[in-house]
Amino acid sequence: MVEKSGIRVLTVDDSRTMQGMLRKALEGAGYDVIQGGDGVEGLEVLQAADPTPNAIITDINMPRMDGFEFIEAVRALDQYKHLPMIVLTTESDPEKKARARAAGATGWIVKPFSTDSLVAAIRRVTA
Amino acid sequence: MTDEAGADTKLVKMIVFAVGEQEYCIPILSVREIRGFEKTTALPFAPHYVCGAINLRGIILTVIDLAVYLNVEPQPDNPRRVVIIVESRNGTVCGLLVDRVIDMADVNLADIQAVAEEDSSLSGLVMIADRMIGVLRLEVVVGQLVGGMTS
Amino acid sequence: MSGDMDDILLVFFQECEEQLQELERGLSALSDGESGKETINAVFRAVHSVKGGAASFGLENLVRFAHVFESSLDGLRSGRVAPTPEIVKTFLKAMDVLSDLVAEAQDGATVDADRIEESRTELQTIIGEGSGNAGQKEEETVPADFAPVPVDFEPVMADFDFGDFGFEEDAQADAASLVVTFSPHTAMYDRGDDARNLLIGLSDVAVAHGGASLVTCETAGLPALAGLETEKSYLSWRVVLPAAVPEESVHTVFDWVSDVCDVTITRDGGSSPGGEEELPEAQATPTEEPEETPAPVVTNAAPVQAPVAASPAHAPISVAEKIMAELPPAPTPAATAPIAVGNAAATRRPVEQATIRVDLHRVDDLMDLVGELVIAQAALESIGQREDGGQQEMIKRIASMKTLTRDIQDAVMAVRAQPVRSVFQRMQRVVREACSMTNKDVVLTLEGEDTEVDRTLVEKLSDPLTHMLRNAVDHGIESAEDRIAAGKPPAGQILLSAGHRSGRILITIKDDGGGINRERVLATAVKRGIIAPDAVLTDDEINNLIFAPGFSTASTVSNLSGRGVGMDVVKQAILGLGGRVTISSVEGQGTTFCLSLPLTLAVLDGMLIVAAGSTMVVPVSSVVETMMVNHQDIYMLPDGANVVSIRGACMPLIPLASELGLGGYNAGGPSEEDVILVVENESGARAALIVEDIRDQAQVVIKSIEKNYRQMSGVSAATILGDGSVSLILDVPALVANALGRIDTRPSDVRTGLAA
Repeated sequence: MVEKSGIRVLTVDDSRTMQGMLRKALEGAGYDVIQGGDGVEGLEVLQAADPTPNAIITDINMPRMDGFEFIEAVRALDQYKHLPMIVLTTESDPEKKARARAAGATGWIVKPFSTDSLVAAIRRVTA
Repeated sequence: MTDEAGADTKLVKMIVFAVGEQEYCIPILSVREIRGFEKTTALPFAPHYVCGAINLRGIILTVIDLAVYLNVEPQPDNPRRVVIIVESRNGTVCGLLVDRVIDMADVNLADIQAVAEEDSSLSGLVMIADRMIGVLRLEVVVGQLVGGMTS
Repeated sequence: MSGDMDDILLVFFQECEEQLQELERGLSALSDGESGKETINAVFRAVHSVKGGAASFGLENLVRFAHVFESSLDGLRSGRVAPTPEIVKTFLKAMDVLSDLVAEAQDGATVDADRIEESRTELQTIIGEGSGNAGQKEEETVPADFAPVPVDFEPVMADFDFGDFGFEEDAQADAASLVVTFSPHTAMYDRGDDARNLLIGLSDVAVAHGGASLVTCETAGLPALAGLETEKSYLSWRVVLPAAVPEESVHTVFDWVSDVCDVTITRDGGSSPGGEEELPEAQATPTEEPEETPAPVVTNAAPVQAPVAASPAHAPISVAEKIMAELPPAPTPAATAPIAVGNAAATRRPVEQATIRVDLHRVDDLMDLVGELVIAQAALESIGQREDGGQQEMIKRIASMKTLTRDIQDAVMAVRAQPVRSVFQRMQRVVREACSMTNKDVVLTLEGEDTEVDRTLVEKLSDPLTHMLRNAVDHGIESAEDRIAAGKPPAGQILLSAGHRSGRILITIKDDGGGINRERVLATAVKRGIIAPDAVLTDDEINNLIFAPGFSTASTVSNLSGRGVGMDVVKQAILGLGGRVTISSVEGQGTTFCLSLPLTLAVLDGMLIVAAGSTMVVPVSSVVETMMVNHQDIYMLPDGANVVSIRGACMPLIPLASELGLGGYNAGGPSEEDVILVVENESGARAALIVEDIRDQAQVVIKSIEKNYRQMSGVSAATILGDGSVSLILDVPALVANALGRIDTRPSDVRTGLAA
């Protein structure tokens, strides 16, 4: 039985496969996971979430509202100003990184991810 | 049960029942349940040994009158006939109408005396407590229900 | 653990299926000249998703190909490549390869390497890559940071900018410790980051190099408490790291925040003996297990405590603590996730193999109805407790409950309904492949893809449709030369359409080919012994011969339609679904196949009748009218069969009980109490069933009897009545066909096999 950390993570990704893996990795590390299938859903889930998640992991390339827009939208809401938001993407283009930074991303992880690096990242931003 | 026929001392739990004066047995593992005989729905062009269809918790299955099938005189005016619900190895479920269930017995596969015919409904005979009991070959009995089209 | 993984893999394949559909839809739109940004993005995203998922499972073949595909599509997205018909064709071909690679990953049927290579080359040509340097291609096409990684993972370097990479071999021989000072800007906190994160990063780096970090907080910048702005960053930090730590590792920690944090890194010159050995134990401890220490900060300056608490660096911590205090003791993920999401359709959790995705509003409708049901039940209970029994009220309530039940059933059906789109789109590929095998050019047009049917039916349509379309390309459409000679455009046209018609779904497959060559069909049927040489058949009957078992018109069996199954199997499959097939064909102009299928395989509106003392069900849709027996209208034909004349129209009279072989039929004809039920089949042919009584109308749940019993002529399925007894559902078209066959003067064995 995995010990619960009491820390909740919102993952936003349009790939159900990725969502499944994120859930497995994060729940395996004792995190409580909530999920949204794109930026729009991510925002809905975030605002409906009680308690508020302690960190967000988001994909970039998604339908309806992409990751950049999602991060900007979250940052625009006062109560989430300091919420750690980590980008998880197959991209490693410096321009996109810069865009994510400007939008207010807290970190950048490249897919495919290892459970260790993912958990380490979450651990750091939620310590 | 013939899966392990190679093992000479393989014991198989059988359920023994009576049809008319004769006794038969089938492996207990192929039995799903035993229930009382109730009204069946007649099926068109059914073989004469098929009583009809019954509803087993939403599944429709047919009941075979074993006395007719085996050409045995049934016990006269037996109000307590029962239906043994069996599932054959290929997944077909059906009911066998018998006169009564007698008991359970451990049968050593090596003790079964095979009968000659390959496609016979009996795979052999076995002695249990000095009684000669027919070992029913379910696949043959049940297999005749499925496949093909009546006309 | 591995079970979880299997689940996720299952989700991945499901998703691939969806993405491939999405891809197909997008590419079809492109080939129709619709090249909007959304379409192109969707197409790109579909391939991108497949690649992303495949990489997670280490499916290298799939990743490699998807990557090339994605790059070409990126050319489309960036406008470098225009979606010309040729290019779209290349993409379609690549899609087929991709789809096969997915299948390969799923069950191991290896995809022909040449085909992959061919498609890969075509894709690369589009964006002007891969010319001549075939040897290097592999390395070039997959970027270094996108190596497929199997899931049970070797730890992969994540480009996470708190990095903790061990560069042991780079460790400096110089024993000088590394001093890092940094001061975050307020902007860093606005990005959800925290000095704490950087400190942990540094501490991890220190631990990775076998040492610890010594942290001091510089508070010189702090204003007096009164002037303190809580959102502002005032503090800076000094961290001493072991000598073994290379500067690169520190840079990695600060990479992401370099624009919002001032950092200086210096070597402590080695002049100071202050190596890691000199660090007092007590000061080093906090760095060892930072995640358990609320504030992993050792401060040298005592008065700092209060201001630190008020600094933005700690605001997130207190929020987090508050959140934790509010958390329920041990929330199980399964219970909390759906509630938090509050959106059933959006809860993307792998559940089990058979899943459906449903529009949210349909679930909401169902929920509302169930709510009403609960209220209705409560109302009934309270009536039951009333002194006077409340008879009238009870009857009223039960009536409304009946409506409600019906509505709930409809709502559940709607949940199970699925557009035929997925199956229809798959047919594009079938036609493409059939074309390339027969060297024909055929355009398949789809209509009514949004027509919804029960999902079980959608799945079962695939095989028969595949076969019929192959057949249409192979036998229906003529060769280009023949078409030109006949004054037709060289490319053939096939229309696959779906629509609802009076409670059934109608699917038509219409080609503009040569039509059925009836002379040849007839000759073949005679040759194969399917019909007698002297048989006289109507055009319709000849058309239907192609459904006869063992029939094949092609003089040389092509490698396409000759794959084992004939049209007779198609017909059996359609019949098995409760459907009918009809053919119409005009020589020189083409052939149309019409499939008429029930909307659902689950329920049916039935009329309960009695025959041979048993209650049976006749589908209401096939009942034309009911009437009392009038002996004057019944005539006996010379062969003993009876016909009845109803308002001038003659039709065969079927005594149902004897027709089904149940009980004798009164030789003197029907008794006065019997009732006539006029029924008709799909094509409008009628017959009169004689039954003993008509009981009721009811919706019945269709139960298969074939799993446990053979097929019965004249019976399509069975159901369970209110009293728990089994009741047979009659196959009206078969009954009508049998009856018509009998009263006809021509040999009936031809027709029984052909009855549609």
